[in-house]
Formats: sequence, structure tokens, C-alpha cells
Amino acid sequence: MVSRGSKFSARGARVAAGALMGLATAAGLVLILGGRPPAEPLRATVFPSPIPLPEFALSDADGRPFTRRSFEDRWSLVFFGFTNCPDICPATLQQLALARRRMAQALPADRLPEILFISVDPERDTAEAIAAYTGAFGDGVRAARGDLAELDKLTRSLGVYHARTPSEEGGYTVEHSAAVIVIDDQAEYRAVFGPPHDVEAIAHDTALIMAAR
Amino acid sequence: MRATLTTGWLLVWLVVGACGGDTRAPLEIEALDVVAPLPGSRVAAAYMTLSNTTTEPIVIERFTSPEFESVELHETRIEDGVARMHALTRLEIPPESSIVLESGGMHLMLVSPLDTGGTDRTIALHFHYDDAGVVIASADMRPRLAGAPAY
Repeated sequence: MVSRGSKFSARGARVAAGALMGLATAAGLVLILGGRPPAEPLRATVFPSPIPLPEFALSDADGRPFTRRSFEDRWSLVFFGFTNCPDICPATLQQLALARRRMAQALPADRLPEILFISVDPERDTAEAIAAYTGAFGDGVRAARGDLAELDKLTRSLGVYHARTPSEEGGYTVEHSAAVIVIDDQAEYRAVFGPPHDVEAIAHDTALIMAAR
Repeated sequence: MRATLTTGWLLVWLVVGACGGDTRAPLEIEALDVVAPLPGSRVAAAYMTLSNTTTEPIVIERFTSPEFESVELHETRIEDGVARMHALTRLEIPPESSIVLESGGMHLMLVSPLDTGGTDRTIALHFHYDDAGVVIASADMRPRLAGAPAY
């Protein structure tokens, strides 16, 4: 049996923990901003109301289910690309890894956003390929893939474009949105960074958006 | 970054140079940067500055490398937030001008390494231009991320 007092205590503890986490994030944000108080986003487009993600079923690099629930409990910076992309994809993931490293100077590890690479070329991007690829970018970088029908449930909800285009050599390449998507720890679409990307702006704005929650 | 050049027109250049003419190479390749494929990927990228020191246009018809199955010239364009990669069939460098191949713009895509021995080696790039011969530039391949393993 749970007494009224203990209910209040549990709720109070949750509120206090949330407040403390918010304070820690805000304090970290001030450090990320170089001691200046939080300001307006430098580059991000922040939505006035969060947009809940739909249900979808992908797999992570270890073959485990990657669903809407996989976004819960941690903020995510999401980029859609493919491993045979020579330029934009590795450059953007490198920028995201650097932004996360920048944020790590001020925020505890469990408050850092996760970087998520979702393949738009599941035919060539096997689980092994995306695991090896994202492993090169260091800690906090995950990958997911899945069939196109499931992928499209997610990309359509985010306004992310991707399409295969034939190449002259008989193969194909994939055109895709170059945006970085910010998903909060409630699996809601909160903000987007359009290209070209800037490491400092991503670190600054992500921390700002997280602190404003 | 080490970069070396070998040219099919070397003899002509030396003769002209010995006569007191312009000693600059017609096609100069500087700041060559060859970035290794990431693990799980089969493509590398190369960036550089190409300079035409002559008073006539130089047209590079194709690119090859003995270390890769093929080399393609691409241009990344961000159009309405979408990254589109356009294959280019030739590269024309106007007289007395330079063209920069850089991340987010024009670049060489080096497809399918023939030797998976890692990044610690030199990559040669062959620039075939104007039916006049081949310019060869080489550079040590570097990992995209410090400490990152290669393919």
C-alpha cells in the first residue's frame, strides 16, 4: 500500500530531479555559450509545438528493433545518409561528432544528445556496414536501417527527402535531405538545422533547445 | 601534405624553360588532399586546387588512379536543403585561372580501392587532359577522422 505522503514524495522527487537536470543543463549551456547567458538560436529552426513521431519499425546496427520508443529518454541529432556518400554524409557526421564533443565539455555524459545515422540506402548499407561506418565517429553515434516502406513512415513525418538516381556508370547514387533533425527525449520532432552546418551553432542551439524544455 | 607531379609534357617544358620562357607547368595541382574511405564504405574523396597557367583553356577529360577501380568527378549541390550529387564528365579550367575542388562542392570520388591495405600509403591520381598527356599527382592518403581505422 502506498500512502498519500509517499506518493507526494515520489512525485516531489521526480519534480526535483527534473529541476536539477534542467539546472545542470542550463549551467552547462552557459559554459557552452562561453559564460554568456542563453540567447536565441543561431541557426536552428525551432518549432513552436513539438511534433510527435509516428510508429515505425527499423533495426539498429546490431539488428535490434529500432522504433519510436528508441528515441525516448535521450535527445537525438538525426542525419539521413548512406555509407557510399563520399562527401556530405561523412562531413556532416564529423560535424555532429565535434558538436557533441563540444557539448561534452559542459554537460554530463547522460545529458548529451545521441547522434543517429539512418541509412537511405538499405540495399547496400548492411547492418555490418553501418556499424563499422558510425563506429569511426566515436562514442554516442548510433545507426539504423530498414526497408523503405518503414523508412518512409519516418522520413515523411520529418519532411526528409530521399531518392535513388541512376549514375552514368550503371550504378546509382542517393539524393537526400542534408538537414540535421533534433528529436527530444519524448520522441518528438523539436527543431531542424538546414545546411550548411556549423559545429558551434549546432552545439549552441542544441543545448539551448534542450534547456528550454 | 606531400604531392608530386609527373607530366607527359615534361620534355617540352624543359626545352621552353632552357630557352628562358615561362617555367611554370601548364596544369598545376596544389593542396591535394586524399581522404580515405570510412569503415563500411567503398569510396574515398580527393580535394585540391587546379590551376591553368596558360593562356588557353585546359580540359581534363578523365581521371584515373592505379589504386582505385574508378575515379569520378562529382559536384555536390545543396538545392532546397537536399544534397544532390551531379556527375561531371569533364573539367574545363579557363586560361590563367584556378578551380578549387573542396568538400561540399566539386570533388573527386575514388571508387572501390583495389588494395584494402589501409590508409598508410600514397595515392596517385592521373589527370588526362586535352589529348596532350597525363599529369600525375600523388599524396599520402589520410583518415577522415584522426585515429579512425580505414576500410
